[in-house]
Amino acid sequence: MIRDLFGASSIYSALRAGLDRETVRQRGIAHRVANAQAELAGDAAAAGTAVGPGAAAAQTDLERSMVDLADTQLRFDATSVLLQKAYGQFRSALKND
Amino acid sequence: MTSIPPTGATPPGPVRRLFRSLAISASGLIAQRVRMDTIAENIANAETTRTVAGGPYQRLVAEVAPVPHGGGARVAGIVQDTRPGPTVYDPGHPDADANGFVRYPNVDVTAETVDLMVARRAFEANATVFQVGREMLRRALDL
Repeated sequence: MIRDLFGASSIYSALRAGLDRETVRQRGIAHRVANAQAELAGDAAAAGTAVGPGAAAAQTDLERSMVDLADTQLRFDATSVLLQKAYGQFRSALKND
Repeated sequence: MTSIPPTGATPPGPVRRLFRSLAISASGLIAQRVRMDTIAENIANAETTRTVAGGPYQRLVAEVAPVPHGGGARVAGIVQDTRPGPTVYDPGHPDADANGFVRYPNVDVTAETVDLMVARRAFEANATVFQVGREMLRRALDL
């Protein structure tokens, strides 16, 4: 019975997996943003200036990464609110019992 | 020469894994700070015609490289730009050669200022990612 409530097919498990997924995604974005400058600096050193086609490409990547970051944060927030509600409902069911 | 030890070299434990995203952003912040320090040094020495090693100051460039396995970024090294700087005819200058020419540093203040703006933006982006990671962690702890 308890195993059914918290097992792999339960809503709690699915929401927890969702949180883990967004955390891993956020880590990947952090790595991309930390290295957006690496590309930019390499191109700048080669061209002797910080502006150029390579710099523009790196800038686009940075913008995309920031959009991904906002998306990830929203998904994480939504999932955590859902999980909080699910746990709250479970707690209230336990109290009423 | 400044060297930043790579982060994420050893497999993190369960608690450290929670903070890994913050560590990645912190590595980006450190890399950008070192880059800004280098640019500041270049601008400060834009008119230095005599160094301890002899000759004019030569521009420094911070090389930023990724840490393997998604560990963020690090400064791989600070290298000298060996391109020669401009020469200016100024026979009264103490560092003028026999023909009256002075070799100035290869620092272009405009290019350095643009580099500084780029580094600042990258620093801000890393700071934003750090704040988001911290907020996500706080929300997870609220569950």
